[in-house]
Amino acid sequence: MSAVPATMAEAVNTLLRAAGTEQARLDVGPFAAGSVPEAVVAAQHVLQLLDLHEQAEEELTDALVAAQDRLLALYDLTRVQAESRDHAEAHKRTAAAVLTSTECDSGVLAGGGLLYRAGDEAHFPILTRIAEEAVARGLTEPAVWPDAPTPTMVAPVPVSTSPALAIAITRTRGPAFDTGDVKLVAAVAAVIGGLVNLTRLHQSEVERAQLEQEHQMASALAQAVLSTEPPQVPGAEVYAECVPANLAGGDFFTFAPRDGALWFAVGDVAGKGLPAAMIMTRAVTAIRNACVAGRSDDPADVVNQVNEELFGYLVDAGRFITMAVGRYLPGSGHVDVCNAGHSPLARADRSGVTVIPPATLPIGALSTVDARSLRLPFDEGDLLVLGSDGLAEQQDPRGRLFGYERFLTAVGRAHEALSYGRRHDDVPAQVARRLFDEVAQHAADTQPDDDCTLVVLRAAEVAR
Amino acid sequence: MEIRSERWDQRHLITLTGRFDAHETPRFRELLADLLANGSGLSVDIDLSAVHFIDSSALAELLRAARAATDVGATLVLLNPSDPVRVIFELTALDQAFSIRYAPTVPDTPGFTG
Repeated sequence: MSAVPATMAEAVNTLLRAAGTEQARLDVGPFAAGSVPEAVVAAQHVLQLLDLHEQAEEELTDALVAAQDRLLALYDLTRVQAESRDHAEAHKRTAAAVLTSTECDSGVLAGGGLLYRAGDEAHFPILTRIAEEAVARGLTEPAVWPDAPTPTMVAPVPVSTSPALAIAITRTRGPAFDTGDVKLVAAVAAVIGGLVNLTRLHQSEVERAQLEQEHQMASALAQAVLSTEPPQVPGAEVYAECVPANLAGGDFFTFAPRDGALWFAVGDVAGKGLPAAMIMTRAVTAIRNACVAGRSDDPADVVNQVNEELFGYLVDAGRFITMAVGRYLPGSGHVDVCNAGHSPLARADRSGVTVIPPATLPIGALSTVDARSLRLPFDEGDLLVLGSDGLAEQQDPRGRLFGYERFLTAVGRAHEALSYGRRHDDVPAQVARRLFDEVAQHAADTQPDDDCTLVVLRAAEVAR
Repeated sequence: MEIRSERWDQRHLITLTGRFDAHETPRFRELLADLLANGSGLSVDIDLSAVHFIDSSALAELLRAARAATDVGATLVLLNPSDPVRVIFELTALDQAFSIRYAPTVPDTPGFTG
């Protein structure tokens, strides 16, 4: 028994032999009908068909491999963002994947001064010009560029921020661009757009983070003017705390000892945040200087002097400052306070709580003020509580303000409970704690809208 | 805050309603700047009867507006401040820095349509 034929050619020869025809005769010219047996003609047909079949199979395989390559390139394109270690690598891999997936040799991404190029350098100048032209024309859909020296497609890159971008890619070998390519290029452009968006977003995040850091540093520097401990003046117990609503704010307090007396000031620059805080630092410096260097014992002179110094500056800034300046000489039995539109200010003694009304306008409201001080009795155990409007205007969840009345009541209660018959020098701190707590209770987790400041001054026993 | 602006000849009535705070000052400033651009001889009334809260930024803005009005030869009057606003004016003594009038909102000038 003869062997089973392994190929189509062997099978044909076996058939020819069976039909009594020599195998060699297959090689005579094609289709010499009549001169060769019909079996040979049929065999020639079969073998020709076989050739065509093999050729088609080869082409199909090539096409499949090419398609597979493009698919892999597209897959790579989708993975670039997740797998790249940095922007540079992502850009490089994207460019390579774009060229492979579109079977192009050279490509350019351009627009708004940005230029990214990949592939064959020889095409860069022309592709750059085409891509820029496409951006200038406001191209909205991918298109084959008509006047290019080599087959070139352009596509807008969809980005969420300006400037607008476009790609231009050229395919010098292989099939001409067809409608399938339009969709492919649109998809590729979308992927590039995603990458550009991500890069731009990252960039703006970095810038925002830098700005945020600078803002934090500036805020910390501004608030630092409040961090100094109140000076130790025998006979005057003091506690001061400022809680800005943001990182920094316009509320302030400051102290200065002079000739045995304690000078103190509490104030609030109109507005909020860092801008108010910057004005606040200048105000604190001006007030402190006026307190320390002044020759007068009258707080009103400090207010007038600071207004004179800061008026122009505050008008330019469109702000004003409410503040109260005071002087307490322990053992004198009184305290002098000049209130320039600040609130709430309260004095508590054995007969109750009284409000210290404004004696003049805030600093920066009028060019000249004729501020006058109030002289108030201030004996052992009496309290002076200087707050800021953030306390009185703290809202509860239903939008109701804590209010000035409630503040005064709270001062009275704290004073009664804490101030007399005590030897502890932390009474002012305890009073402040109570007041802050009451405001916090009222707020019930409603975020403070404004800075809150408390200065508590207590007349202590003086060693005679 | 709602800002309503009505004009009759050289009189201008601005009616503010709601909460006047730092968020609202830019709009208010813009309106006043437009108004005072040719404001010589203009009389601007700002009705505060329906403002239920005012903060320091807004007070500063009113002060700035009053100055700007004076600078261009216009007059600015605050009309009928509500109780909460009046309390703040008194606490800050800023009532001394403004012209404040308590009167019917629409002046009884014939033809003032509001």
